[in-house]
Amino acid sequence: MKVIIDGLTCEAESGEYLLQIAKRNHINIPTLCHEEALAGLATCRICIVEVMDARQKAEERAFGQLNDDCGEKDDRKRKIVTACVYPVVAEIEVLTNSEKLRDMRKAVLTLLMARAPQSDAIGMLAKEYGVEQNHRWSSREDEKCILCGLCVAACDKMGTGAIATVNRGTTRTVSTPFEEPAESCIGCCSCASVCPSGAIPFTDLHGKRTIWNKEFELVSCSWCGEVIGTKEQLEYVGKRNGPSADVHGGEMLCEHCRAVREASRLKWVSQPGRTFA
Amino acid sequence: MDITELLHRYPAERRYMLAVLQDIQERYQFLPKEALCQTSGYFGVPLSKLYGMATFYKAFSLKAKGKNIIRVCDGTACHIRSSTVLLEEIERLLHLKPGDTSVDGVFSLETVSCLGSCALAPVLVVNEEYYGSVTRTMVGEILNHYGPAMGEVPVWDVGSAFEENLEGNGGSAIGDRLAWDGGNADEWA
Ligand code: SF4
Ligand code: SF4
Ligand code: FES
Ligand code: FES
Repeated sequence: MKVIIDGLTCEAESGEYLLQIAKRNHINIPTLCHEEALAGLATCRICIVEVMDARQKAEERAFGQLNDDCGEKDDRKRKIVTACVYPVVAEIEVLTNSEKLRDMRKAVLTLLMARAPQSDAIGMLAKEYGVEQNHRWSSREDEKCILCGLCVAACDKMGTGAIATVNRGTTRTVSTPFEEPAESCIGCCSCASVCPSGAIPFTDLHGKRTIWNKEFELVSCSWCGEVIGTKEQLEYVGKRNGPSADVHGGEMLCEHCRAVREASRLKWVSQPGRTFA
Repeated sequence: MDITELLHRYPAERRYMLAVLQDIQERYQFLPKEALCQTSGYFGVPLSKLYGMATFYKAFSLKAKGKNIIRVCDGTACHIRSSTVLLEEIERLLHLKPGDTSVDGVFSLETVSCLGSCALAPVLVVNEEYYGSVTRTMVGEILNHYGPAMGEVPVWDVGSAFEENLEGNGGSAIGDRLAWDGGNADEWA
């Protein structure tokens, strides 16, 4: 089926999300709470786009339901949707950067900025949209978190479920149970790496990782010395997926070195004359 | 602490989690950490999620509560009719601020937002007992029913509350007299 995004005709499968289609066609829609593997949160509202359904409008006209006073100059029905969770099921036309959308994104950004004044990601978008910090709403000056929920979703996906959103209203925040080091946390840093706002602090220092007030021992690649993860994390993954492919004769290899090793093996195999040294 | 019996009242399905938390809260007046851990095990749900739930609802407390729980309504109607005076008086008598529990464990103080009895504003509830049109002088007398946590308290003239001839319906849309009579009339007569 065809979807026209900002005038460009794109091919799409029925049920595909609008954001996916736009991305594939190199049309940029700003996102904060979207992550391919953790889709469906739709909490940040920055990816709003305008959708016009030409066919529906025609049908309404045919059945005489069309209300021409609703202020739509354009002869089509328009609605605002969040692109990251909007499945395309009919042929539609989409605008991603109209004046109206820019205004609405400004409003969203003003609120996000009031919530998380220290977030770089918000700061950059705010700059792009010419949004100034509004001091009418007070928030914690050092706040970075926009409560998008990606970190919680990432931790849940790991199967560890060490963090959750706690409290509500203005005191809502992401936390481990009782604000204490969580027993189930394995220090994998999935939460921190997925956070669009850099709001989850961690340190990797002297072979130790500290995150969520818990300390972990770091394991490095036996070949190149690159940090692979924490001991707890590798044990956890090992338990879940069976013995880790990383372990090879007592060696722990990072992804890169593992690939090098595989490649060199293949070379040996493909050169019949060679034997293992 | 054994909450096995509380847990086994419900099948180990997630939709019963809230009910279990309510039962625990009812029994202990708060949610002990140990109980949350056991609940997490029973339902196979991460502790973090239960903690999130426990902190979301105001009906749950994670701190141990006193034997008697004083709830002062600070909803709009009660606020306008000087609920803060009641809080001041409680602080003067018991040295408690909202959220606190007295050192002897006799009283906990909380504020709530509208008890649906606005016609009786300001309203104060101790445990399950409602007291309406409470004045500063009444506070000590009411608390005297419950515990020894304070010294000399002023005597409250019981008759006066009835003579006040309350008007209006308040947010609860219950006629004053009706709510009054249906409520706690015996306490005052
Ligand atoms: S910490 Fe980051 S990922 Fe988690 S809710 Fe806040 S902004 Fe989102
Ligand atoms: S570091 Fe801990 S909290 Fe963060 S995703 Fe990993 S297990 Fe969860
Ligand atoms: S990217 Fe956040 S709502 Fe779509
Ligand atoms: S405001 Fe106190 S009962 Fe309604």
